[in-house]
Amino acid sequence: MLKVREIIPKRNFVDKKGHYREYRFDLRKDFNGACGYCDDNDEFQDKSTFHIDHFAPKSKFPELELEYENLVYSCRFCNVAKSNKWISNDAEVSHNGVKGFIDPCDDNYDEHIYRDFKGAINAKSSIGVYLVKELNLGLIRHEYLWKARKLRAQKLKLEDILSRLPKNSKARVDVLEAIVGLVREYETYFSWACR
Amino acid sequence: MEDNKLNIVYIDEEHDQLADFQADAELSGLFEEIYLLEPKSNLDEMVTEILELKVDAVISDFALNEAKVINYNGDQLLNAIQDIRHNFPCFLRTSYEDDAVSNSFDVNRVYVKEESMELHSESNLFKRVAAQISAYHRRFEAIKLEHINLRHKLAKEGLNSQETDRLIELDDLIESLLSAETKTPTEVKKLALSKFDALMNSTDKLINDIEANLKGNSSDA
Repeated sequence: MLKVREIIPKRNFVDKKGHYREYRFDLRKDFNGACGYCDDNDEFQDKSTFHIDHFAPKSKFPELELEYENLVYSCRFCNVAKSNKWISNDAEVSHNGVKGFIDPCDDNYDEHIYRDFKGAINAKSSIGVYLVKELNLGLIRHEYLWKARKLRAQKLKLEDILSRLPKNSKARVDVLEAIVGLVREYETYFSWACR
Repeated sequence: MEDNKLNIVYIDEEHDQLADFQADAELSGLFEEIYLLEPKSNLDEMVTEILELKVDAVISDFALNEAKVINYNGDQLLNAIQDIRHNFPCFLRTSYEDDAVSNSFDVNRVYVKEESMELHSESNLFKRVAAQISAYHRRFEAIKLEHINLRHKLAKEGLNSQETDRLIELDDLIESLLSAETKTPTEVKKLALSKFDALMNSTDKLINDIEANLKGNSSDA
């Protein structure tokens, strides 16, 4: 069982701005360039397709439109799916223990969903069931993009090992063969993700 | 309590029409938020502004350039929205029945404005909007549930080829309903479900084995 996000996002202090879109740069940095909800990384996608989500919806709580603490760097799929859903009439009450959303910057987020060893996102609580259903966290793209990141991390790790292996060793040949295999996969699948 | 009231947006270049629409829509009691927008000169900016409102349906007047220069009409605007979000509830209002018949409009989304000046004159439109939103949500929910059930089966016992094809079909549908233009290609999904795992597992094993050997060698030294 793996965590959905390798690094938990953390909002740092940011001066108030005149429009929520002006927080994009700060948000991207604080969310490590990944969607707060599903962890899809924006480096494999057109960054302009990443949205700024108002955790407590701005249509229900317009006073929070410019509050940095209420903003989430979000992929288009999670943001559109989340839409204006909110289970209460209070911006502070995001869930009732059974249904609702958890702020992605809350440590508690990972108590409700996990990633299996193939990269698919699953629920481990009632709220997790709600999150997976409402945000469509079972979409194959989330698994695909996780695998794409893992392939690249493996390639980098092998390149590091290669630099430390003695020349003409059997292990070096194994590593080189593995790198060639990974690069082939990388080229096949990343050509779409990097377009 | 989860709020299920509907939010809609209406686009028209004429202020009187916007005000009349708002009054009628409020009287219908079917909607929580009724956003009113005038057309922007740039179609892409208009589409972005509409989608950011996160409404349940979009209603546009057909003729958007009677009061200012706009190089697209309501039909083109709704097409641009549905190119991004397939089957999203969209309605085109026109005063001219002939327009609706002679143009290649999607007849399911055309609504000819009532001539009556009485209040509630547009109640048929609002009932249609609410009914179509409800049908859209029901269909989306059914697709999501079937997708979730197949995902559970995949994790527990695996899927046969027919079920795998159905899972990918449902996955395609969900992506098209949310963001068709950035949808993951179907072929990539097939490969993602089947092909990466063996390679990643063997690579993990190789990395662990060699790292262990390198550690052993350095401690021997």
